[in-house]
Amino acid sequence: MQDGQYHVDMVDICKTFGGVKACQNVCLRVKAGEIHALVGENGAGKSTLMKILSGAYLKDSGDIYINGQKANIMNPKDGLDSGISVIYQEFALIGSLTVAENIFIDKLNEKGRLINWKRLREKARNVLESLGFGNIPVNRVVSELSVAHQQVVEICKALARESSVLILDEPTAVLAASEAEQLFKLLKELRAKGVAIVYISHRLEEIFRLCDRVTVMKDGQYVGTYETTGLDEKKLVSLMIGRTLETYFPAREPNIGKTVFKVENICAGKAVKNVSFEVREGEVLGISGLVGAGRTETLRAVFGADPLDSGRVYLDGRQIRIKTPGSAVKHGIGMLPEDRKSHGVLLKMPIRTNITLARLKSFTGHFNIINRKKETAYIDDIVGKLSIRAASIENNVNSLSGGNQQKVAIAKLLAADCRVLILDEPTRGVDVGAKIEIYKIINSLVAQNYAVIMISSEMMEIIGMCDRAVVMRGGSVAGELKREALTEQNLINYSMGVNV
Amino acid sequence: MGTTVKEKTAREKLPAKDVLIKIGNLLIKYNALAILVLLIIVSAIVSSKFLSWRNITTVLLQQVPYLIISMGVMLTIMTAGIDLSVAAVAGCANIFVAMLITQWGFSSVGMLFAAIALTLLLGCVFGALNGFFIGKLRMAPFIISLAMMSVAQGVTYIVSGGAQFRMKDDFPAAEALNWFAAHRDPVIGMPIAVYLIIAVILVFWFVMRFTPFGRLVLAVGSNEAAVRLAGINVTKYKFIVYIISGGLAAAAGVFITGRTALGTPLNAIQSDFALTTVAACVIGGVALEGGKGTVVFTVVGVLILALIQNIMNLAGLASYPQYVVKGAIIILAIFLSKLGTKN
Repeated sequence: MQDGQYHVDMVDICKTFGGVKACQNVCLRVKAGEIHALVGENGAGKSTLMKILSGAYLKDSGDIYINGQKANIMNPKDGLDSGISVIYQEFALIGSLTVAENIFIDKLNEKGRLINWKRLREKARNVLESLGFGNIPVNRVVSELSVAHQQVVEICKALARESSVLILDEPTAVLAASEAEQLFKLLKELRAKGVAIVYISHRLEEIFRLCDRVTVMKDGQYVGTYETTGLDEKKLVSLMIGRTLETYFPAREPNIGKTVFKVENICAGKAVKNVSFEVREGEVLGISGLVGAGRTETLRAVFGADPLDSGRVYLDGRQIRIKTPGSAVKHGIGMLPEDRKSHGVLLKMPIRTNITLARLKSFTGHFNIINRKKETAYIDDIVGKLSIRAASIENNVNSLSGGNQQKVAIAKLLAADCRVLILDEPTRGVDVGAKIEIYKIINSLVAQNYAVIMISSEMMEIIGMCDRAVVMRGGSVAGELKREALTEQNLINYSMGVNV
Repeated sequence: MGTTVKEKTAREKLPAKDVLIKIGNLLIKYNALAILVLLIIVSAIVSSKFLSWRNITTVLLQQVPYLIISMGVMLTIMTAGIDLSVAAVAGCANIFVAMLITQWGFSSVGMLFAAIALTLLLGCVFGALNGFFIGKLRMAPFIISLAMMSVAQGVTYIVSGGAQFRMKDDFPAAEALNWFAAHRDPVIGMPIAVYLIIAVILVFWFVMRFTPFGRLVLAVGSNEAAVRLAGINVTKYKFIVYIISGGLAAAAGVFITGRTALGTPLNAIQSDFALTTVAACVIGGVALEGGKGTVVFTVVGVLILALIQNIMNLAGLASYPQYVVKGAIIILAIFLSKLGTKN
């Protein structure tokens, strides 16, 4: 009864997570032999939708048809049996096993028999050759391969299972430009073979080059499906964010003072090589680059959270030594960590405990007793200023939405009285409304002369919020862009190493 | 929308059922307290001696070392750690203080205080070693404190040469310590050591409830990484809780010395302090994954286990089967308290 022209047909999919509507009546229809882009801001519900398709999550309501047949996907195994394979940014490969073993990990032997190694290697070689990657040795241990080749092995794994639907979650985020080209070629070949490909990406340029159609999601809702030929980048962006860019990022009059914080020739581990940058009072300095470019690693080392191998750090022109996060905070340098749930907040602790964690000393009186009245007054004030929406400050943080959790993390950071703030992906995983509020908070902070360093994977955010941006590639600074030069093209060129 | 519908259906239910559900929820939340009350009732039925003042005060006196140790163990568990060396450290303190008094010349009453201070210091040293490996080097608390248990047992035997030391009355210090551990106040007949332990518990209650230290201990256990990134010296807090735990274990060892009038290396390998106090904490709702628990309920946990022991004694159960029953009851009690934390 379903229209046979779609290989994957997801109809009116709904999914809520404890009150948060991650997907509301979302539809996704992908033809066989099509590359179909799925776009939307972080938190729009793309991943949730794909996890429902692959069986990682159970949908609340809605129907899924594969090849016209209603599919009852209850768990990841059902998903695989329905021919659906997902390639996440974090590969599901076993690093210590060989290429051949990984490709056939779920059917190393025939039932009741020992593994026939010779045949296994031959089969693996065939799959690789069919994709034009016969140069990858099947006996090589996977962890020794380049990231791009690991990705190819992931795709081979999917094909070895005879998957007819391939979902790729930001596949080029981990690739260099030339490697990305090879991936595009490979995907086009798979399209020609009739595979239905769902392609999730934030890189609009890729979508227009590669994809036939695009489905847009926003705040868990289905916006629409469009032919890419009938769209341009500007139009797609406004569909994704539901408004024009100008209103998305609140305006701010930059009032930039002297240099507060400066790092020179920072080296840390393998991920950070010779990084230098500085940030001034009242300035938002963006740190841009691809995933794995060493942005978080750099700032964690500067902050004392990871060991710093060499390099100098200056505060107000004087060299300082930061060995632990504690000493960084003492110097007035604070950090909002990237991973909110495991590093940013104490989920199972009350909002009260979270916010004043680093400030308890200022509320104590005789016998080291915390003056709760004083503490409550402080918390009420900052909860109001940051418009943290919570029934009570005695509630645990895990009862809040992602956006409010992040605001608690920001309040906790501000309570430590720092004037250099490192914000690592401050709007990751929060909804659009909370995003704008966080942008406003950042604006009000720089208006109060804080110096802000903002790491972000979203180019729009870097362009919309920063006075200046440093672009990292492969652990080093690839370039620095002033406000006027902050364009998506420039950011892409620097972060992917295209000659400018 | 979904919530308003739910509220309506909840309101339409019979009020009597609502009350039952509320009582049920309270029972689940405070199940340790419910178990304690239940045990008191059962005990009173099983034995007429149970409710006698003599029995009650004696049970409390017996629990003094468990209560002292449980406070330190509670702190370590709250930071998502554990201290399994407490029994051995208490045993080591027992031998150490007995030998100071009977062998090494700390025999006058005045020197008793010096002997106790030195013994507490010894406990703190064991605790500091635990704290160094666990807090500073971030090694696993479970195995480090087990290893420290072995170290403390070894030290006990090396120092004592395997011998026992009687705390005889010809040493004034021994006499004073024995007096303290057994003396009851003349008015209501409560052992004075019980007053002391109540004071210690009150101090812990106060510290956990009102001071930054208490709040940060729980915070460290709840999410160590986040606390560290907020600029707080996590190592310091972990270090301190193990020092406290070691010091309190030594204090318990000193108390036992007075109560038994004996220093014996057997205490270091035989006593059940580690199991009993950890079990008491868990029964009282101190989560082994850290970040949760209260002083009052830890005390309730200790008392629950004490009553079980007492019932078995009053009922005349032989001592070997008591071990089996106690183990089984600990498992049951933790199973019940797990039900409480799930919802």
